[in-house]
Amino acid sequence: MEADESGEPRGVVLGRERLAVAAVQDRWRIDDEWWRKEMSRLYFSLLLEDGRAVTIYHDLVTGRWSQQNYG
Amino acid sequence: MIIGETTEQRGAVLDCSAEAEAEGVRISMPLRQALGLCPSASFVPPDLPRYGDAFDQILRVLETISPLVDPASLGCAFIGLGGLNGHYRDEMAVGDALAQAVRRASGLMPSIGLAEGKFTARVAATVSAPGEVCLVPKGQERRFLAPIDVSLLSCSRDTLRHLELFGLRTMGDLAALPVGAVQAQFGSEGKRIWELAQGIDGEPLRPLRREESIREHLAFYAPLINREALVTAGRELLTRLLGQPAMRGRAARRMALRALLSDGRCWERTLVFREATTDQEQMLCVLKTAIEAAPLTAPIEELSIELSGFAGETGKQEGFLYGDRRRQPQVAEAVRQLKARYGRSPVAQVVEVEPWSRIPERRHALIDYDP
Repeated sequence: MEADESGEPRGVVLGRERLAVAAVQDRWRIDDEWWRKEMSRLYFSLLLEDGRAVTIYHDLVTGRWSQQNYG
Repeated sequence: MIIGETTEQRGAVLDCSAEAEAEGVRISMPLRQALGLCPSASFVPPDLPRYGDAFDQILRVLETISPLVDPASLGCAFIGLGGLNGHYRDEMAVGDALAQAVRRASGLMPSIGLAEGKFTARVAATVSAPGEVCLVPKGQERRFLAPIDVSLLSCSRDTLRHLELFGLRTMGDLAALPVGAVQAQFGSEGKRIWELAQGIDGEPLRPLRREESIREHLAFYAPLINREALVTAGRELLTRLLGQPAMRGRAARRMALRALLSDGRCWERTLVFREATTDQEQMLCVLKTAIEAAPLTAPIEELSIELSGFAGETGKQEGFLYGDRRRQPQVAEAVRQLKARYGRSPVAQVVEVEPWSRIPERRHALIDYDP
């Protein structure tokens, strides 16, 4: 995952492939489950350069980026 | 003797004996009129499925002589003779071969007309005696048709009545008129009948295209009177049909049922599936509905099923665990064996846990499938 200074995704690595982000179609934040293990995520719905659409999130607690495979 | 259904006094004469013909009865004449002309006639109800079978048998024999066989109507076929010159001495020899073939296949004596164009050939066959071949040489069509009655023209009753009113009794009378006058009187049909009377008929031959089909039948030692038994027989036939090599990797779109009743009648029904299928239960369900609604007036002696309209088999994804309830015990047994082998069930199941959760992976969970 590559992001610019503002935290916007610029490119993603899917398997061995690096693909540039053509557009950020949507973004939203979830803060939940503070009562057990706090969860804070910043989601991005991306359109990649090859036309694929993927949803990724930035875990604001751990700082890791992940792909959301279903939902 | 007149062949036609008399119970409702409707319909038309399908065929009649020479004696009835002498009384003025004609094919296609309303039965009521035929009864008036020949009140002493024996009316025989038609057995169309049987006639259809016999005709089909004749067509198959004719196809061994020429590949261009056009079944115009029950009992009448046009045959393209192009390309047969090298096989027969002359046209009459082709006609004789056709007559012999029909006689051998059915025992019937066909009337054969050889001519350029369908209409002249049909008229030639109509005016020739059974077993005879009538040849109309090319270019002689108009002369041949000239003395023939206009009633043999393919046109509406109204037009025929008008021709009679105008005193035009033969095709020669009609052909002698200018085409414009006939057209002005009868419109486009006028031009058509004028051309026919001239022996001009550009209607093309429409050769029969046989569709592949498979068929199975069951003859019952004791005729069946019970519809449930008939459904059971249908299941047996479907099992046989679906097991045939012709069905491998293919699905059928149409199912034709035929039951031969003990009173000599036949019940037929063709059922079309929404999409081509190999599913015996689906076919059986459709068959059952048809049999339950069938007007069976006598016990059934024989049942046959024909499948046709073949298409490539298409797969349908079914739920592994929730699809067919009858498969559940088999799945449970398979999982039990896998569990015995690996120590735990290697089959997992998705269950809904928190469908309201905003976090996608909280909504469902994967658990071991352990029935």
